[in-house]
Amino acid sequence: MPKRLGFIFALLLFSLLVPQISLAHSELVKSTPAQGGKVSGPVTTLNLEFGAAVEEFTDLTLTDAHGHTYALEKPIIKEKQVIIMPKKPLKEGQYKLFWHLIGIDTHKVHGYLAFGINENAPKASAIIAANESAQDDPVQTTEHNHKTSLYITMMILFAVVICIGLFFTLRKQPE
Amino acid sequence: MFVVWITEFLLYICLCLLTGTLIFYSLPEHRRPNIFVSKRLLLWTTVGAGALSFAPILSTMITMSNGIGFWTSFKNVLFVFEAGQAWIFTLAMALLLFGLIYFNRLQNDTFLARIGLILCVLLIGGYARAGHAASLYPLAGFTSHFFHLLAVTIWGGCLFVAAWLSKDEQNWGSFLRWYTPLALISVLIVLVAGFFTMDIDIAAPLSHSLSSTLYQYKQGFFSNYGQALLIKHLLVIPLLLYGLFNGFFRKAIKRYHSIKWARAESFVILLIFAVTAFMGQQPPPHQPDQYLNLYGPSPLFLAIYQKNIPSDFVVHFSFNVFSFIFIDFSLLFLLMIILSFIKKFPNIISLLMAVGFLASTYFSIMATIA
Repeated sequence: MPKRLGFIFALLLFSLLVPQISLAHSELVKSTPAQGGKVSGPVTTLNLEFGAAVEEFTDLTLTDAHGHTYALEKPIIKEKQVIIMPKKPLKEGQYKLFWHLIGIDTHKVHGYLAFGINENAPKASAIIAANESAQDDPVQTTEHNHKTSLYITMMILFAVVICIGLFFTLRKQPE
Repeated sequence: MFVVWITEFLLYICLCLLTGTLIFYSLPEHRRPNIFVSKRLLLWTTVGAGALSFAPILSTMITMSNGIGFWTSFKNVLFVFEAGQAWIFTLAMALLLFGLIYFNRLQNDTFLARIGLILCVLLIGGYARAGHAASLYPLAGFTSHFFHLLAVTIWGGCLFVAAWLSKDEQNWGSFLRWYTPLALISVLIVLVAGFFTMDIDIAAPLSHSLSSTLYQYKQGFFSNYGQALLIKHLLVIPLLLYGLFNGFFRKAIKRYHSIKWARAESFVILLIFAVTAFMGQQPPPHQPDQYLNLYGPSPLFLAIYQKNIPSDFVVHFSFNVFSFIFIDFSLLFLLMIILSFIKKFPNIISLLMAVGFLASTYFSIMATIA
């Protein structure tokens, strides 16, 4: 019996050592224009390469620094390669392309590409999609006091629970 | 999302009950605890395994149907996506198992019960095939996820059935004689396979060295996924403590109430299942910097950290007085869990100590993040 279990375990370990090649997640690996890159315009196509095959885009939005949205043709998907064509060539400015896609593995992935045409790409800190509400919490000033009082509350709570434990430790045991 | 969280949680319970019962039925009666599992319950868990595993697939269909219509998306997901194909296999196994249980009395037939057990293992294989890890690395991802799941259902399944469906403690000793080594091996497999599954699930694209995994783990703390992973790992510590007492130290304690403590242990497993089910619905933080911009930090993390988190946030650890105080509390809670066995606390108080341990250790780690 232990022999057989040893064999199964060895099999498990062996299977994990099998070289793990290429296949990765449906996240952006390479693109033209590059992430955070600067290119000279006008730009007619955006080439994206993902770590794993893309099945479907559920959302795809191209905006510039002023918040204008640009109309796009239906993306051409060839497994990991995706070609995106704006309906009109893009002139100089800072652009952000957001997507929400479903990979071949059914996983939903958010992502973005930031680039500039004849200008620097928008900074990462300027790119805010889903967490706007979370980011601008004005907690900076009182943060320290809040944190300390939270910790002290927790300590009191833990002490109470420990006391409950002590009560049960010291009581007479039921027969 | 919330619905899938619940269905996944229920699915884990169904898989455990099914595996546990079939393992017991595969053994001669003197080796298993004195259990009674009604046929109806067993049939419902089989239906549950087949139907509940459809929930994440359905959720994908609904997301995709936006624009292309539900019917097209239904066909696409079910027949083109690997997760969909894997589910069809899972469903087929569940149907075969349903027939086997419906037409036979498995409790008296070790041979048919073993066939049922094989079907059940295949069913778990189908579910692992549809998982995140398998889709990223078909062979290694599937293998590690599958063994992780299988070991959990064997360990937890026997425990659940023995703890909740035993009529008395008759045969408990002869049950533990094979269950303790089996549980020990299962725990080892759970930990090793779990580590590899995690390595794949949280790895940065195109990189999965050990140092990169640790970095991703630490950097992922601010995401829902990372928080859930941390809580899950912290819960393993009290679980192992319960396991140690139930398996090894029970003889040292007079009038050890085996079923009571097995139930306590199973509660900790249920907590872990709830956290895992939640985690499975969260996007893993493969690229922490992009993650913050796209999904935002975890509300739980934000509630405790209470600072704005920049997108180039790097998690640093620095010990301070709070982290030490919370670690002291954790040690006290561990001591209380041990005392709970010796001094025969009620179940619920012992579990309260386990939750206390979880919370204080969690706070000590959160206090350490500068």
